[in-house]
Amino acid sequence: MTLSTGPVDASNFGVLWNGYEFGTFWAETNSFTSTGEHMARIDAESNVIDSQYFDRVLDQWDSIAWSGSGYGRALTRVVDGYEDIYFMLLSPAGVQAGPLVRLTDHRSQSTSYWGAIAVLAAMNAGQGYGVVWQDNRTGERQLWFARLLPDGTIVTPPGQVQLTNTVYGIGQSSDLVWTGSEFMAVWINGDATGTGEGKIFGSRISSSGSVLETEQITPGPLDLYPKIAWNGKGFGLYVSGYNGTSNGYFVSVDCNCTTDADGDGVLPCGGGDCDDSDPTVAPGLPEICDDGKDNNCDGLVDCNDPTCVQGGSPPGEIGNVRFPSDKTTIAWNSDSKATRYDVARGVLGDLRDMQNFRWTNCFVSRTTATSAADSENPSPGTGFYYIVRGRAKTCLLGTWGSTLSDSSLHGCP
Amino acid sequence: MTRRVVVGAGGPGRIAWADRSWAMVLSSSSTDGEVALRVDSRGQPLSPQTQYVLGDDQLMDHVSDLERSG
Repeated sequence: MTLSTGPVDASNFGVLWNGYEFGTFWAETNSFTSTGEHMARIDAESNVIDSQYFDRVLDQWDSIAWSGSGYGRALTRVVDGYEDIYFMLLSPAGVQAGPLVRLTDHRSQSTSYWGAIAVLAAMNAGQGYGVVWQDNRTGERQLWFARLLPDGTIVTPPGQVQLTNTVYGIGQSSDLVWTGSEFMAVWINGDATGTGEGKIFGSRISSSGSVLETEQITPGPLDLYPKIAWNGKGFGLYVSGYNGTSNGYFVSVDCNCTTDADGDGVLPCGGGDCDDSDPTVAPGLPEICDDGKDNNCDGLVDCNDPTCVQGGSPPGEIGNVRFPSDKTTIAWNSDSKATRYDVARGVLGDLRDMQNFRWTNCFVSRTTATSAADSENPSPGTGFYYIVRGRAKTCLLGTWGSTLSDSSLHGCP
Repeated sequence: MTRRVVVGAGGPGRIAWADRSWAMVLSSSSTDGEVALRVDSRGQPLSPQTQYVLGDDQLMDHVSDLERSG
């Protein structure tokens, strides 16, 4: 069965099974230029159900993942000569079902000609995603990770997490898998001579997006193309190795299921402890709503966890946000119901680009004051904007503003 | 703990877990195409017939993707 109608970019296609049908995507090309992205739904008998065409050139390096109720799609898009990683929610029919969310900031997180090669992995149904990508913001290609809510919002903290810090950039291949309780990312680690030789390294990443451990998996000297999967008990890794001759290797990577590193009584494998370095984190523990951790391992931190929802009348919209005396101290009116305040900050250029507040980050969390100082100056030619929210109790949250979609913000947890 | 077993000729590959075994799509040196094979959890080939030639097109830098169905 032929799906494509033209030449296909051989590095930009994939397939997944969502429980009742296949979703597959590919990019068609004209020489080295993408002429559009395609997605098709295929039933279990190999019949095409329907297909979608994303009329957008220069999108590349797609990765899709099934969330339980739709697809998440990560892609690289070039705008005004810059490459950025974006997230897009697709309906079960493969139709765009949410706004495009930019995950990287091309002003300071430059990617490269070769694309940022995002790999998306879905967590348990309704929990969201993890995504890894590569960029050159440090001067060498390194691997980054972000934990995403179901709508593509980056969970902050921890925000963007740098997985590698090699002297020479990592190889272009990387992969990511979700085990039911944590992520595993793998990549090619270049050696100190910069000759392109490589060993496969991997990082276990908790459900809340924190790195648990990083270690070398294969001996090298020239290992390439790592692809990893999970079978409920351990990882299976495919890797191509060269040491005089070329071989394809299967590598079984067992999860350490005999050691409870943090002593909380829960082992880290197969839906177990999502952070085996922290005894306040394990399935079954109550969510502590103000410690910045996913205590009960459901993938949701603090007030994002439904167990932290509190009843009552929340604070109203905070008014009169201003700079009363100088250009570094922002102030706002108090609210009779608010006991603490959150301040989120964004860049005006991002607001223009995205036409929403999704690139807004938590600036100050849970302050009792009605002012906050910002000593950082925006880049020349742009500016910061600020929005303020009141909160009562721990998680009785006010609004960021009546015209905003509160849940879409990179808000304070 | 890791355990490494040679399963093919090298080059790009894909892997998925399916029905109590690992399934892989790999480059093939004998056909300049692709093969599909299955190994057990320790990486030992399943018997009797576990390897299937998928195609004999000239091998490029990439191979097919692979996913388990229900």
